[in-house]
Amino acid sequence: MDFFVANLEAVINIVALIISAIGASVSFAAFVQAGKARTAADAAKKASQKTQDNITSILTVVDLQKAISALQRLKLLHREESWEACLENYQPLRSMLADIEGRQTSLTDFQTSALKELIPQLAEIEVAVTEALRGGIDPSHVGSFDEKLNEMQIVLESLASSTYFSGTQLSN
Amino acid sequence: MADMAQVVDNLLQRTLQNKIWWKPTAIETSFAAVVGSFSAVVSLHEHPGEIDMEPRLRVLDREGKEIDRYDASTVGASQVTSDKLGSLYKSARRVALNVDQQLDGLLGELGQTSPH
Repeated sequence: MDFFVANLEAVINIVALIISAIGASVSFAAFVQAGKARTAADAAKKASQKTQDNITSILTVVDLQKAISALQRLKLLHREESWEACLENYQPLRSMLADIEGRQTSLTDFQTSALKELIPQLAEIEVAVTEALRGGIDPSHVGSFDEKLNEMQIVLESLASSTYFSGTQLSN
Repeated sequence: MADMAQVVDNLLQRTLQNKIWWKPTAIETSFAAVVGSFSAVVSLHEHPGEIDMEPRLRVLDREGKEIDRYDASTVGASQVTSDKLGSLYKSARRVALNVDQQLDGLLGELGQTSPH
């Protein structure tokens, strides 16, 4: 007992040292835990972004497929020379293409340019058919519509397949 | 206020600087280019009472809807702008059909052909 009284200061220092060591251990454990939590949060954020990109790609492919179907319908109307029906179908397809171009983010700049170029091409066919009908001319003699519509379909199919495959790569 | 004469002038300058990529359309005498959110279509068309075909410029919005057009019959059309529009048509056609590259190719072929 005398020993403790005589060395009280040293005992207090030792106890303080032990308490400090425990505190430091607790702090270190909390720091490690926070790091793990941060890593987990980053991983969750990345996974969420990946899922979002996948969904965007799928939606883009679906929209492009709808545009391809509309274009095929238009090609059929051209082949049947149902010009009045053609005139009703140009504008919705133009709007559809503009929507895809304006809304989605999964296309590259090059792909977006290719998509945008289709819009004036379609508009020019529309004007040519309208003016031919107004002038009493058979629109089928005015331009190479089938050839251009086929080219447009190839562009859309190429965009759809490249978007599909880029989406597939994202999910792997 | 912006007008179509300015648009014609700017399109011509940028085309001559190879900054606009015109593309052929379904119509042989019509060429289209995308400029940002807009498109331009320059073409030749028949004008009532005229024998020769005249150039026309149509400016479209991002959905392909016509915003404005310019040709010789446009109210207030000047001869200067009409001449520039003619130059724009010719320049757009050269770009769209790769005329310069094709002529270079032809000259290359001619250079390789020995005279008889």
